[in-house]
Amino acid sequence: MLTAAVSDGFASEKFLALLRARDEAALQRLVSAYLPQVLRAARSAGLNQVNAEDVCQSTFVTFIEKIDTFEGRSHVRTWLFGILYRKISEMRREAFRETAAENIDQVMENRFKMDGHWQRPPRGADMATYEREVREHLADCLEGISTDQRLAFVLREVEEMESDEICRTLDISRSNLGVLLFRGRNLLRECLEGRNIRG
Amino acid sequence: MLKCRDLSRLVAGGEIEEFGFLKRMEFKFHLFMCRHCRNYVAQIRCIGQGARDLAAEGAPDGEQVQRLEKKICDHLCGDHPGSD
Repeated sequence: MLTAAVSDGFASEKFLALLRARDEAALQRLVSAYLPQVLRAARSAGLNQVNAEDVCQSTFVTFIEKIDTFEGRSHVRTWLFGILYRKISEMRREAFRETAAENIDQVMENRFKMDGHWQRPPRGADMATYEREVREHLADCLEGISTDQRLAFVLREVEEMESDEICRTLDISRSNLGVLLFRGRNLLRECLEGRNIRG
Repeated sequence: MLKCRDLSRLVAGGEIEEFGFLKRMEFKFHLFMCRHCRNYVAQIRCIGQGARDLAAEGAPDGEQVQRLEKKICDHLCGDHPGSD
């Protein structure tokens, strides 16, 4: 993961000027610094290797095409991931089958009594067993959540971004991010439990 | 007083990570008292770790990254005008 110091250097006016001039060494540095992270995020968002590579290339191309509109106020990484997010959303919009994903709010509500305590608690699980079952089923369960939920989840859990950066990347409010994470994580947990994961 | 329903919202919605000291103490006390919430939190964390493990397992090798890096750089530098 890039350190703040390194990524700040990428937002410097001098470096941006080199990118605007299509300086080969600067372009090389930019791609070299961010490609592994962008590629990992694209794969984690559910794209296969071929689509992930295509979307990465397209992300960097768009970044350079629009470099004149980047004023350096936000992080280069935030801007780059914002482009990536929009491209993945476009790519997955048709592929994603709309499910009753939003019903998760009701599913969760039904798990609690009126007084706020558990009515149907999570199944108690031996953690070693649970970890093994997560390894077996998580990839499938991830296919059942929406692109937005998945991207929010991936940016938080895999890229370990702070909430502010995720909100800027996805262009959403903090409360929207909370809803995406709440629904995404609970859909995954319910999916795993539905596959009889328990200790 | 933090209820199980509130705790599930705070944990899954990610707000718990931004809590101050007192709220975190309340959270920890609730977990100490409630095994169902302990299970819930452990499972949510395990799912996050599972996602990191999946990403690490599916990570392309260095050669793949270098090949793609070269392809993108060539494209950006205009060496391959016909490619997309």
